Amino acid sequence: MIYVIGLDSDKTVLHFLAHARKNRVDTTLVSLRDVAAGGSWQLTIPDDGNSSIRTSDSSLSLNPEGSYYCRIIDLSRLQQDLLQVRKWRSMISSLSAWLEHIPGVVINRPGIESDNFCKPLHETTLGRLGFKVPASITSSNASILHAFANAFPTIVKPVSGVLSSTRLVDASEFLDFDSRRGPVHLQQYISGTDVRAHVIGEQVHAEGIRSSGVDYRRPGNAVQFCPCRLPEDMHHKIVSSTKCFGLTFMGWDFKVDSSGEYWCLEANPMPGYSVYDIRAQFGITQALISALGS
Amino acid sequence: MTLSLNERALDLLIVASPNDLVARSVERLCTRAGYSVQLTDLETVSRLFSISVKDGVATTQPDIPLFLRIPPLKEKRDSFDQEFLHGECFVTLLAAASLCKSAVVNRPFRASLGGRVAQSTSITALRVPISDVRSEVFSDTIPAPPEHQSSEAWCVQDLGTFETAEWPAKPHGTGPYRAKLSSRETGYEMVTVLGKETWRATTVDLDHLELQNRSADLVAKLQLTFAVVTWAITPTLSDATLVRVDAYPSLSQVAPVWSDLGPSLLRVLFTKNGFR
Repeated sequence: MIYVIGLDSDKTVLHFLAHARKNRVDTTLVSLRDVAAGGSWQLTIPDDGNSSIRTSDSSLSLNPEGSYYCRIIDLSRLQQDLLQVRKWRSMISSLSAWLEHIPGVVINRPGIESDNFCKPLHETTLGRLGFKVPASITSSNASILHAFANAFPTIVKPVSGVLSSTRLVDASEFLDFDSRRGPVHLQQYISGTDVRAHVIGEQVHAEGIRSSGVDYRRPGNAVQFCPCRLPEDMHHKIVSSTKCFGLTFMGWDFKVDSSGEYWCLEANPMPGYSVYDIRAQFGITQALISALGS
Repeated sequence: MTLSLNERALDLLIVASPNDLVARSVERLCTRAGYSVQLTDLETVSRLFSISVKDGVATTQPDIPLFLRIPPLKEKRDSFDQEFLHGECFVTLLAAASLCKSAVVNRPFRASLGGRVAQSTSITALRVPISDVRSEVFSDTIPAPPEHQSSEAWCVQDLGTFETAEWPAKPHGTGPYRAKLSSRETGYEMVTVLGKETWRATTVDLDHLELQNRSADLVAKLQLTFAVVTWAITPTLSDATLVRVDAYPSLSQVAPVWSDLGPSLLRVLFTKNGFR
């Protein structure tokens, strides 16, 4: 059986469950929202065989030898009630701690810190792993930001991991920039084809994306998708780098410029992969199910 | 607060709450030694930094020693915008502190400010790894104790108030909780670690337990340079087990060793390769 731990509103969780159930894979959803709202938990670390979790209508004993697909999203910051804030925070931290050290298969195992939520650090890590990374600046200083945006076609994105779309910026936007609005993360814009590659263990599922816009995820762009095969060295590099991060499953984003050079934009440790998987004929979910041992 | 940073004039930035007694003590220590120090908040300090990444190599400006005691976020957020901005400032400082060449106490490790220290001592111990790990129970209701000896107490901590009570008493608060068994007859020893230097809080003869070496080794494995390690000592003084690791020790924890710790902190912060 595969335990799926996440939110019952998460498209990726629902996608995984639907495909797994269609293929008669035994799954159980541990809905974090249900547990926090009306349920309870008792988790022993190291596990003593009695760890369990309960929603308002069912109780589930957690098998430390089991298989767990985790998309653990902490909603504590969205809670209005202080008791719910604490409940969410404690549930997430204790469940993550329990999953960190059980002997079962956990994808991805919590406790393996990725620096993806800190762009300058993440880009440096990617550079150290041997990827070509676009130049970037993180600053609140108007003249530094202006000089950078003047030197390259430039995009702006959050410094942190907050989900947002990227857009091109003009240097003039920073002429009278108020540092209290900073810090800002600017990155050299690489024109070309986007490539999204999902690594699951040794498997890679990649897709090329041609878009009329800067960010193919934004509505209104004309977008073409096509399966693609990564160059062999890049294939091996993302497989070995995913292992280097200590993870089984990652989503890698690249831009491929007109000379065929691969520029690494980021490696996501909890990829929302459902839309790519539908085009990949569920190959990503199937690889995940295999990696989870079912 | 406005801070106009002149890199040449400033020798150290301390990022902490103005009420942080350890941060205030470090500020006084450095000022008395003739260094120019600024104690400031996360958002002000993060806006001082520019981090450039070119060909995968980072350069941080200014590159200046940092002493980090970043206070935790408020339990409830005020607004999305405010929290977003705070988050942007936090990760910028995290990047600057991780990537700069100057001394940082404690330098973040893989984007974590507390090294590999976890909320659960059991998890911290498993990460080291230490083989003899006592179980901890995490629950949203007060967990009942397992069978135990009368010399042991079932200690329950409320994770909202962080108050601890001995079962069957209940800690103040509304939960959630964590609980573990601990010996009633235990004594405690604290070891302050700075790099490879260590200082014990007491002078009890415990040399045979090698707590200083063990603490330095443990702190290094947890990717920290400055921490206080608390050990539980059996009544016969024959054995010690890990109680907790504090990456942000309180003043009361480091006060007994401050006269030795202070000069070492100055050396670490202001000397190239200051860690012995």
